[in-house]
Amino acid sequence: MEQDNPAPEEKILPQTGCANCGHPIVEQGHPTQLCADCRAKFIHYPIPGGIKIFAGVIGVVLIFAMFKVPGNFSAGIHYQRGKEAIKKSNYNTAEKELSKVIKKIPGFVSAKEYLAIASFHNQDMESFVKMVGELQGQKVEDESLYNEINGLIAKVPNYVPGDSLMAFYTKYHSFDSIPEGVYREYLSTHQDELFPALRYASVIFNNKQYRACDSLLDRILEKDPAYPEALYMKTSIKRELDQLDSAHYYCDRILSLNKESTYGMASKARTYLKQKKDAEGLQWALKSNEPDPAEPYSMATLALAYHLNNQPGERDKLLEASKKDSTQGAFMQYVIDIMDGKEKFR
Amino acid sequence: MFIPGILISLLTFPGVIVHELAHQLFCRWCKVPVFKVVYFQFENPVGYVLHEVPANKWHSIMISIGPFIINTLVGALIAFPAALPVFKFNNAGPLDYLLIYLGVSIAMHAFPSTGDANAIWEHIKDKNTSLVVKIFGYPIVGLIYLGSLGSFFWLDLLYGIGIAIGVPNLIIALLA
Repeated sequence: MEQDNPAPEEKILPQTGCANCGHPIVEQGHPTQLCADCRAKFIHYPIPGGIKIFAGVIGVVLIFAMFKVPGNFSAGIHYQRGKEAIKKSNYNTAEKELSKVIKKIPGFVSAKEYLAIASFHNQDMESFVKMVGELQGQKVEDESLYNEINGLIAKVPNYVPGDSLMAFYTKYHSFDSIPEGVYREYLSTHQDELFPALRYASVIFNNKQYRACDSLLDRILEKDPAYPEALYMKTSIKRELDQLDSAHYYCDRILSLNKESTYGMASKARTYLKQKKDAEGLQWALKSNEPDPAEPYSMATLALAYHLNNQPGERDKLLEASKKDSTQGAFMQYVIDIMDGKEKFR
Repeated sequence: MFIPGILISLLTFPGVIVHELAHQLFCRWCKVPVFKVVYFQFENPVGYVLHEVPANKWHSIMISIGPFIINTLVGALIAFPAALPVFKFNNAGPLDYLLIYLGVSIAMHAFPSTGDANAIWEHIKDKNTSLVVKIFGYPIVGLIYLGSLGSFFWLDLLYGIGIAIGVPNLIIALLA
């Protein structure tokens, strides 16, 4: 491919006057003899109307296209931030950033792929299932991304109840209401199902059978070492068993898998508080409450941290705020019970 | 695959027009008379600008490299709004594809031709040319020749695509 321009050509003309109009007075110091008017005329050699129209049409098209620039660039920036956040295991940030992208550009396949990953790690299964559904039939060009999403899809049965367990759920109205005996019988015939094992662990945790719960969680984590809810429960169990270093270990494991896990941070705060390291506890509680101040577990943890750090004013503000939100109930009640001496925290 | 240069120039004619227009505009800004401009024709060279040999060596260099500056800037500007929908979001419309075609076509004709390089060469080899001009001029001539050689391996097309995709992505990387 070649496009060539001839070298500039020097016009040396024999006559003494202007080479263009013959005017006797020419401007000196130039290779071409031209009078002032002709020199000015050639310097401003006209641009043809067709070229101007061509440029004008491009300009008009460009102006129309420019209207989309702010929206596209904003989406591009949020997408980049989301991708970077995933690389750093900051899944909370990633989900927020990528959700903004999808809102602006609903058909953006790559953003959906990354959002599916972020949602999964945040245990936002509703968003994960929605994204995976929307990716059906779409071509995923990045093979490693494709494999990662497939790996996560394969894990889904561990995180949601199967039909046979749902039958018990319907009968007893909640997973925590299903009797221990029913769980044991169910698990004896469904040994590979992690979700019912986790629900059973929750029931025996509530019944303060901490050792049995700890062993059951070990078995779950043996099959899926990154099972978030099992790790969450582990931190609580270890605190109840007064194995505080171990509790920190599981908090750190949660945070290594998802650096912005509010549960991981709040649980770390509670572990510090249990160790009577109240300043560190408050620091972690504040950190866990930052991304979503209304998140029940971290809000209750912050209230507990304020209580143990002798900041009743701040604590009471949170208690008051929690009354407006029914989802806060159980978590905040635990703090109230500690304040009233009904529950022993340390 | 060998595709004749004239066919490529025909397909990317907006770039040729902007290239010649850039020479012309730099002549105007350097106050150098222009005697003839061919913006596009179906023979080799597909376009050219005939102008007076500038007395100032810097002007000569600037007129020769003018298309590199103008085509790069105009190509990037035109492709700018369309690059993300086409290359990233996969939600581009016909207008976006038109802008990408124009942007890439224009940017890929940014490289000065060997004729432009020869013009600079003729000026700077003169014994009266200052050392500073030579220091700038010789590498420019070398780069133009390298670019010309590279165009055989589609370097100009790669450059055009690079400008169209690269600039928006660079901005995003800086702002994110």
